Amino acid sequence: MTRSRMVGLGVLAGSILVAPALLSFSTASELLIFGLAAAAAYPVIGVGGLFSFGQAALFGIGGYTGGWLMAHAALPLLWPLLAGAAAAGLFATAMGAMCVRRSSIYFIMLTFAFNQLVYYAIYSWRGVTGGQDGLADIARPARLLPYLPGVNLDRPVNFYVLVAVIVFGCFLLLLRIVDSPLGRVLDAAKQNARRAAAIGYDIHRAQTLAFALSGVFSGIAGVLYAMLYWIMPIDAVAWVNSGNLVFMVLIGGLGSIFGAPIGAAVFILLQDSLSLVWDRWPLLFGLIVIGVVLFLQGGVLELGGMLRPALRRASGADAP
Amino acid sequence: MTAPLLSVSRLVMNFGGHRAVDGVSLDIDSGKLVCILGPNGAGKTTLFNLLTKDLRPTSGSIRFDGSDVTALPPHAVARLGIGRSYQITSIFPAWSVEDNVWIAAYRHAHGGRLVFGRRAAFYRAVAPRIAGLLDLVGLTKLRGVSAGALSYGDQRLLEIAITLATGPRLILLDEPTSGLSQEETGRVGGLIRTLAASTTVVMIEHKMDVVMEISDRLVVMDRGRVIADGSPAAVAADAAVKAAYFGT
Amino acid sequence: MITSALLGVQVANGLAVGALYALMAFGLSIIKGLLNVPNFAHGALFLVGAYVAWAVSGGSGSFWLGLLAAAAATALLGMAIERLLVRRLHRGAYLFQLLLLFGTALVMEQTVIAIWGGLGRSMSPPPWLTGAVDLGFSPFPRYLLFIVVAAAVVIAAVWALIERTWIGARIRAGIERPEMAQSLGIDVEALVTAAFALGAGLAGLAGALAAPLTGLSVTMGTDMLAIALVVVVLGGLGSIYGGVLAGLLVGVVQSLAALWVPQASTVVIYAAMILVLAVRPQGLLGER
Repeated sequence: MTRSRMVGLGVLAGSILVAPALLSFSTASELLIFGLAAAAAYPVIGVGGLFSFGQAALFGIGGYTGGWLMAHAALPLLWPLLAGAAAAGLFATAMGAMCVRRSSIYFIMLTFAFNQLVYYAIYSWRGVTGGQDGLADIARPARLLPYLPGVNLDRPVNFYVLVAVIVFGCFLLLLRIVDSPLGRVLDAAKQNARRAAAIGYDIHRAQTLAFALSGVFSGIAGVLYAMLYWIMPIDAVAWVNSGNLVFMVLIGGLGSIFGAPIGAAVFILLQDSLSLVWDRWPLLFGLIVIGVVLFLQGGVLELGGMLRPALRRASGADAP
Repeated sequence: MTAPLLSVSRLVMNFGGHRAVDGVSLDIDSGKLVCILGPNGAGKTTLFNLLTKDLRPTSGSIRFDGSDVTALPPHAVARLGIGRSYQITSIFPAWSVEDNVWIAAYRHAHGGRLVFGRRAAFYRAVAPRIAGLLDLVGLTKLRGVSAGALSYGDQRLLEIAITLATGPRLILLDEPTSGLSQEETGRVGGLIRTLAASTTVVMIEHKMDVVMEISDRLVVMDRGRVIADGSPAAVAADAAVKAAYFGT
Repeated sequence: MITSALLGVQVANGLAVGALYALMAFGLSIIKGLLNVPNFAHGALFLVGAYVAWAVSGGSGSFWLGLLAAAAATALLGMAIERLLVRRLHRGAYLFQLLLLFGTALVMEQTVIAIWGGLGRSMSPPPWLTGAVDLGFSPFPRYLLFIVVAAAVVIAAVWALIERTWIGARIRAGIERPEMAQSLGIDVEALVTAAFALGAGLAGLAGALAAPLTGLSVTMGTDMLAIALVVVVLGGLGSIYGGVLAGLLVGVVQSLAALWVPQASTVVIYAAMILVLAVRPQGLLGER
């Protein structure tokens, strides 16, 4: 593993340890959960250059599937987690297989349409999903794995540790995917699809696979989110949430998967602080989105990169 | 007499009302270096696009190494061993020279498997092959440079290295020397001769000195048809070719 | 029991809603044709149109003035969005353009809430448009008929603009053959601004027409955007008029579906869209 990867992981682990000192457990948990959802979008959006506006659907399918199981059966966490990941992964595979053959603008609109399909399906299927009120009465499982002693996840600190371990573990796996031959093929297809095919890669298959993997990890994030407030709100599936996830990836920086958790953190903290200032905080948020797109396309990581030479110069001036 | 490596039969490609390739039949034997000549719009590049399946032919058939490949997608014919360079340089500009060749060498070594459980860096066994290819095209010193930052001539050479790394049994080169200096043309010409010694090469080329010197056989196309086919000397003497191509 | 009268009313309703979809899709197609980006702010423009119509017609007492103000205000907004924001980005930078429009949509939606509040409003059609006309086989509410006629007139007018005039020929070339339009040296910049204003104005007008039909709510824009995008995809992306046909179809199908599966009529639309695209990837009227 390269040095920059090690540094990145070190910083991520350090932030996870420090976060509860600065934020409430629930805010810190939410931040990590969206960090995972954004990182799960990264193989598709960042590496593959496929601008999926259907990520909220994957997140939501995971959350509703896992959440329904937790609301109706006292199972160890493993099962709702697997069920949410599998359901979202399967849907992502179907969605990917239908969407990746289309050119960019068609692709965007199709992923968007899939997102709306899921939204309205959940909205209409009141008996199971709770419709517009969201899926309520979700219980955090009493045990993590079968045959193991129980753990009280209703204690905020326990829940945070659980989220931190799962998110960090998933992030390592996503990092591996980004650095894998699959990641290289996705990148190759983004740069020059015709050449990648002429070399002998089935790029549609690679892109569908990226969607499937993105679905699995989005689904896991969704299940964690369903536990966070003991409710799965329908807003989590709305297309605005897809836009938010894309924005998180972008604001962190498209160039690296480490941008995704940074983007999620910026987004959640921005949302929390703006909402204290003004009821109409989404208006301010919209202005920030516009500002970032116009002036900071490389995201926060690029901002760091731009500042680094200046910092070095400053520290160099101090040195003898 | 062995079967030809590539056998094209009555291939037709229509674009709307325009017939870009009009009933081309062609057999290419293993181990030969064949040049395709013809004025602009003769259908040469379209023929290549049909062979690599970037285009689907309107009618006709293509057999490669004894099997019908007419209906296969591009990646499948590439895996069977048809490699290609493009008229307009086609590389991965964001990557280093070495990574450009890696993606092709990995495909050749591992059959295009989309592994996601291991890092790409794990597959180091292809490194010597990459080094050998970079040495062959003379890009060893530039292996860490971003491909987008290379000079035009070096990009052409990189493109050939990518094509070779896929281990093709039939290499299609679309104007490999276009836009190159005299010196670079000489280098590429020498490279092609080296390749032709061990594999089958079909190239589209305009530079007559290069063509006459290195090819075993010339095929001349005009308006979508093959108008002459034979040894360089015989084709150069052909009256129809003179009329269409040399303009005399 | 589903009677023929009920069916008739649902079809009428579907046609009216479909006419609104058609207006939205038409505008989206025009903008998409020249920017090659789905206008994610289209729903917000629809919302702004509805609220402007409500405020102006309520203030002035003139329904027509409300419609006019809605179309004009949104056309100006569209022009501003294109000139001040979208133009600053590279063409082809899809993701950034989309996010920019996404942010713009948020700002517009929230501004509407900041000005007029988050509660729903209702708006009644002018007296001469209340009641129903009897078409023989079934009654047809006057306002629904008005929407269909108004949408048809506007679409025909824009059609004439596109088919018969010099500006229209350029817009059309931009939609159907963008590479060619650029290579012919058409002033694409001015064209993009004009097209954006035109598309935005159509969205605002659709919002104004919708207000008395569906009432006003702050989520109406988002809901409308989602369906309008589907309608455009269904109609076929390279086709200007496919969206009009698809809009009417979607409206009627959705309205009829509400008779049998009242809860899930919107799901039916999305499922149908995915089915159609699986069979006919290029959309109803699209080529290729």
